[in-house]
Formats: sequence, C-alpha cells, structure tokens
Amino acid sequence: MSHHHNRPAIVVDNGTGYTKLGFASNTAPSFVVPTCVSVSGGGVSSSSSSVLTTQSKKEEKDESNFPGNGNSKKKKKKKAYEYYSHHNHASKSLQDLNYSIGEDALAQINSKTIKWPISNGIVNDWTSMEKFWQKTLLNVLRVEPEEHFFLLTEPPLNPAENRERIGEIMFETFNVPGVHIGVQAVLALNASVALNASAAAASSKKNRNGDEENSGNDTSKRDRNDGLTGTVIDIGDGVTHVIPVCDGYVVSSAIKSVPLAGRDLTRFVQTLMRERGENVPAEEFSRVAQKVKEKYCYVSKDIAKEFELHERNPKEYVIRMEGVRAKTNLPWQADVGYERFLAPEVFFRPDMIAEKENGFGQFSLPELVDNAIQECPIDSRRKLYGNIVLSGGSTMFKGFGKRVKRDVKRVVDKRISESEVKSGNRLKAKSVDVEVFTHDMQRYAVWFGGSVVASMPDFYKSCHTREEYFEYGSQVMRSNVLEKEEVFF
Amino acid sequence: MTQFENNNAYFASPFVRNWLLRAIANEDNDQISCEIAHEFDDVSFRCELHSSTYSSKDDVKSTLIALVSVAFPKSNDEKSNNERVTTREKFLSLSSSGAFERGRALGIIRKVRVLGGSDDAEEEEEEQAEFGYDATVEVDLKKLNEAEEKEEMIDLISSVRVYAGYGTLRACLRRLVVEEEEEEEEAKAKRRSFSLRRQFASPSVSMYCKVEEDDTLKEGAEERRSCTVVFPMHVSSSLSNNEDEVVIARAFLAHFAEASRNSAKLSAAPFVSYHKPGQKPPLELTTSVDATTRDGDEVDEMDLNANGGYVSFVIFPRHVKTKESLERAVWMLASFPNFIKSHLKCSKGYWHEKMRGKAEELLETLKRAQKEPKMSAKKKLISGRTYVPR
Repeated sequence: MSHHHNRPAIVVDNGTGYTKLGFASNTAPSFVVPTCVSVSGGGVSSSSSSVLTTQSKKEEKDESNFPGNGNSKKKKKKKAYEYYSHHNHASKSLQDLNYSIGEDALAQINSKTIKWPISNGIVNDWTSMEKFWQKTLLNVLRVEPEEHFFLLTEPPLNPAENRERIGEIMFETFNVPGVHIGVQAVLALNASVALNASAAAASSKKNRNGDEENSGNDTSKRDRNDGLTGTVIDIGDGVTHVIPVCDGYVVSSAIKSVPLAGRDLTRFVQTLMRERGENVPAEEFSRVAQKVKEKYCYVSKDIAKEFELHERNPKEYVIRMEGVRAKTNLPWQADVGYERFLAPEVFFRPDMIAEKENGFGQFSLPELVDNAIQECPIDSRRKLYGNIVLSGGSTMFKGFGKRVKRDVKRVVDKRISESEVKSGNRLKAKSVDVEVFTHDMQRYAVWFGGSVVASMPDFYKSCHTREEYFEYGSQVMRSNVLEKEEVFF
Repeated sequence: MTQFENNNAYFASPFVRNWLLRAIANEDNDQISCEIAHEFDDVSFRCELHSSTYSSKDDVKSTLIALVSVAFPKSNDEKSNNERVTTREKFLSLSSSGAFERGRALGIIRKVRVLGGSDDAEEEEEEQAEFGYDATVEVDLKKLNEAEEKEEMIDLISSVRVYAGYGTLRACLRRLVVEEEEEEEEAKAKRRSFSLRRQFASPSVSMYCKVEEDDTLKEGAEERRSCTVVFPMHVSSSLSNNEDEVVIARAFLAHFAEASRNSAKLSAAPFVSYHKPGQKPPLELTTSVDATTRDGDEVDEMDLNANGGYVSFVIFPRHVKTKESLERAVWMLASFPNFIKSHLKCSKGYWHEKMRGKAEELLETLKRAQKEPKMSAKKKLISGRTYVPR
C-alpha cells in the first residue's frame, strides 16, 4: 500500500464540455480533452466504410516495412477478436470496440455518432463514460491505473447512485487502489485558499520580520479555516451554479443552478453576428463565435456608455477577424462589435435572452448569489459575502469579478437600507463586505484545487480504498469521507 | 488510434508532446510551469522551462530552454549504489543510440545529459542529468518553433523514453544485424553461448532475451541468427489480486498466439508462442546460465511461476534491419506487457458494460412482473355506483 504514495495521484475533473486530466502537484492539467466519445453506427454509412478501407490499406503498407510493428500487433488483436466473434456470433456487438474520444472523435463528426456522456454536469451515459475513461487513462495519460490513487470530481447534488457507479468502474474495471470524490465547489475553494496562502507567503518573504513570521503562521491557519467558507460561482460550459460552502460542507439546500452558461454565450454571440450579416462561413460559425467569446469579450460597467464609446470610436473597439474558408481557400472577414460586451452582459441582464432560451428567469447572477446566501445559516452569511470565488472558463471575462462585486454589493445595500427604513431608522446595520476573489487559475480552478488536495500527505487517508470497496460493497462510495473523519485542514 | 505520419509518433509520450506544444504555443511562458508525469512501468517525466542567456560568436542571446527529463524505476536488484550504477548503465543507452543526432545538427537539441555523464570524454558537456532523473534533453524552444521539422522533432523529443532506456534489449536485437567482423573472437564465443539477458521494464515487469544461432542453417543465411524474447506474464500484482484478470489474460494470450499463427497476412511477423501457466516454462528460461562460460543472468524465481503464463517472440534479423525498425521492435517489445494489461482492462470494461445492460434488462422484467397493488376499498363513482376495474 505504501508504495503507491511515491507515485503522484491522478486528478480527473470531468466537465460537461471538457475533461481536465493530470497529475497531482502540477499547477495545470496536462490534458484538456472534450468529453465525448464517437461510436460507429449512425451517420452516413458509405463514408464510414470508405474510411475503413483507406485505413486497412495503410496498415497493409506499413506491414511490408516491418511486420512486427504496432499495426500488425493491433491486427493480431483484431484477429483474435474476429476469431472470438466468429465462434460466438457476436460480431455486431464487437464493433463497439472501435471508438475514439476527444478531438479525434470530433474529427469524425461526419461518419460517426458522437456521444457526450455528461450533461449539465451529471454523468448520464455510463457506457460512454467508461469508454472515455479507458482511453484517457490508458492511451492519453498512459498510466497503470492499478498504481495510482485517483481524485475525481462531482457536481453538487450528484445522486449517490452516480458515486456508486464511479466506484464500480474505478475499482472493478481499473483496479485502482483508492478513489476520492471531491465536490467541485469545495475544490474551487481549496484552490483559492492555496493561492491565497502562496500569495501571503510571497508577501511575507518580501518584508521578513521576526515578529511577522510568528504571527504569519497563525494568520495563515486562520485564513485556511475561513477559506473553506465561501460562495462559489461556477460557470462551466453547460450550467451555472452558485454554491455556498460552509467550513468545507456544501449547503445543498441553498444551491442555485441555472442552465445558462458558456455554450449559451457562444450561441448568443453567433446569433448577434449572424443577424448583423457578418460574412463568416456557416460551417465555421460556431468555432468563430467561441473564439470571439474567449478572446474579445469583456464585461462593461455600463452598457449605455459602452455603446457610446463604440459609436464614437469604432476603430478602437471594433475588431476585425480574418480567416480562410477551409474548402475553397477564399478569405473572409468579419467585424466584432457590440457582442464584445453584450455577451457577458447576459449574466447580469438575463432578460436579454430569457425570452428565447431557458435563461435565468427573473434573476440576474448577482441576485442569485444574494438569494443563495440569504438561504444559508445566518451566522455564516457575512463570511459568504466576504469570500466569493469564481471558477470555470466562463468567468474569465475581463472585469467580471469587479462587476459581480459591485452588483452584489448594490443588492445587499438596497436590502439593508430598506430594512433600516422599515425599522424607522432606529437601527443602523454594519455594512456588509463583499469580496470577489479572482485569480489566474480560474479556468481550471476545480482541477487545481484537486491537485492541491491530492498532493497533501493526508489525501491517502481520505480515499475510499479497494479493500473497503470489496469488503462492504459499492455503498461505501455513498458516504463522503469527510464525514468519516476530519482530514483536511 | 490515429494514423501517424512518421515513425516516432506512436511511441512518443503524449504528455511530453502536449507539454512541448503548449510551451511553444504560448510565448510569454507564464502559463507553463514545471510539470511531472508518471507513465506505465513506473517511468516518470519532468518538463520545465528555463530562460537562459548564452553568448554565441558575436552576440548574447536569450532563449527559452525546455528541459525534458526521464527517470526509470529502480529495480529490486539495485541494492548497493555500485550495483545500481552498473545496472543503470546496462539499461541506459542514450549515448550509443545516436537517435538525437539530427536534432543536434539542427541546433534544436542543445544537450543530452545522461546519468553518469556522456560517453565521449572529449566533449566538454560531461553533465549529469537533472537530479533524480536518468536522462535530460535540453531543447531550444525558439529554434524548435521556427524549424520546418517541428512535428518530427517534437515526436523525437517525446520519444526520449524509448531512446534513453532498454539498453540490454536493444543490444540483443542489434546483435542480430551487426556484422560478425566487428566482433572480437571472445564476444563471438559469448554470443554462441546463448547467454540469457534480463531486462527490467520496471521492478515488476521483466523480460528475457536470448540470442541464438541455428547451426543447421548455412553460414550467412538470414534466419541463422534469432533472438527469443520471453515475457513471464504477471497479470495482477499481489496488491490487487484479481482472479478475473488472470482468466481473461490466459484466454486472450492463447488467442493472440493462435491468431498470429493462423493468419496469412501475418506470416512475416515474429513468431509468437504461448505457454500456459500450468505447463513448463519455455526452455530458454530453464537453461539460463551457460555452464561453460558462466555468462548470463539468473532467472528470478518469481518469473518461473508467472500466473499468466509465458509469451515468447522470435525476432529474426529482417525484423530489425533498419534503424527505424530496430527502434520499433524495441518499443513494441518493451511495451508489450502493458499493451496486454490495458487490453485486459478494456475487455473487462466491455464485459462489465454487457453485464450492466443485462442487469438493467432483468430489473425491467422484474418490474413488469410485479403485481399491481390491490385496491384497498371499493371505489365509488360520484353517482354512487361502485367502480369495478376489469
């Protein structure tokens, strides 16, 4: 058992859009793979068969060079399967063994069916998920799963059955020695705590005094405990979650989630550009829109002023994109204008697309944050306002954190002043500090948090182990190890 | 998986590859930091960036240097430090393989540092690899980014694992094609003595190679010399004692050997044979140390009771004629146990998937067979009549 500890644990953050993979103690995931699997069947049959024939031709060519190479071995394997299938009349089902994942799968979009095993953060297609894990662990990371501990993530409100499924696959198929399932929001908080601590360490190094060092130790400890209380705004590809966390536990009754996130912004940008008649090739439109969203979008302080700025000074604000059509090699050009600030504005004015899509309904993101915190225990609310943490790729817009801070503050102040008026101005409330924590790791905050947690020496104690699993069955996965014993911090 | 354009691509480590691509893509290198990875057979990697200034002939340039280091596992045999260095030297073969010559000529690879220093004493770069690692490749990122052979070079650097290790195996395979004149009489005698060489891929994975000469064939015949590589298959370690995997492995390997024999297309491929675990281990293993010369490695006792049986490949000179095919053969053989292991995982996954499907089907059937709950009391319609369900 002890020798697993020499090897780094593997951190896997399965998201709706992308899966982040890597080794614990790294600062960034080594691989970011689209969470999708392509399976044969469906699509245009003729094109898929032509793909197959060219492949086999190539294989034959290779074989003449060196018979003992990879292809021929793979072929041997294939032969073995054919042999097997011939005897069992199961050749049809064995086609399933031919699949690919991630970018490779997306490249086959014309000839194969693409499956996305995770929707809205929750795994609902376990067959595809297991296939996806097989490829990512064995071919992409090239690890022996038997020799590493794993840290996997789950969304808040993940059904316990899904945790059991994770256990089944990890322990029975992959023989892993131990699994820890971390809640994404808590991991994001962990990331911010670690970054805070390292920033504090850096600053204390700069002005090093004897006194400060002593006191610094204490404060960092206190900060750590405070750090695990906070509100996480997690905006991924598919869902937006506002999750209050108190002392490392998710306040599940207060979670707010809305099916409006990165993907919808991309679509919004696309509609805006299409309605204006930008000359972007149709087949590349969604990719271009995504690029616009990731590279050029920012959050404005005031829409009206921003419109004015754009009108007055289009040279500075309108960006010209250029590209070449894939098929005809003809160049195209398109202007990126108002959508630069209009797209992220959706989070603050949901009525912009609420009619068309299932948007925030009547609540903007700051209101959601406020509502979520108001549903939490009263003694933790100040801390929750004081530590709002951003996580997920769609929080990376310039100025996003400031805007959230300002708007939440407004909502809170408004309520406080209203209640002061109601009390007849006899009671004065202490003003509430709203603090939004932004950092460079936001995009992979959950993964980074996982990496921090999994590189701590206590991590191994907090895992569900193989022995436990085979002793008590899959229900061990239901309980959170955090409830079993206090390990972190 | 995908069709690769050049030879190196398919033994390139995806981790190093991806890291190099990211390092090239972002110029201001603030997103990229030191990263570690741990691949199968306990091989670990570390990649990091250094900005360094160096003075060339007339001006001082600053450039980004990527250090790609690889470490191989320590085998159980390496008890004392002395012994460690010698087994290491047997294993490491970077300086002799000359794989990185091309990268060096282009200036992309600045240095290759190996544990124990480089072979050529004349060269001044007698530097050790990074601490804790066995080999380090220094890559000039700027030059790499500008080079025409970018893809090829990236694949080459990511294959450092193949080129740096597996010295014994490579030496054995090379003996098949090296001309006899190059060898001294003594070495010739040694080769004739069928000595067995053990190669560690990791402490738990070992393979044995034995070069043999068939005296019944005439001198100079291609098939006269052959190398037999035997893998004792330890399917599941003592830690994860998994009986299912052993059973699957036996069936899988038996089919594997049979398929290679029966298929006409694979007639030129190396001959594969499989010894089931109950049977006697292959003769190569039982006659390990040569009686006359006392040369060769002992067979580990653990390897004589492999739970998954023994797979042996017979490699002929035609399989390793060119440099590329030699490296391919080295990689295919070195990664064979892992290749089997990953296929075991996949087939287990496949069966689990089917089992899950069956279980769900059964549950559905059971649900349908459930009796409908009985009406507790007679239901009355509004009009006052009793309602009788049919």
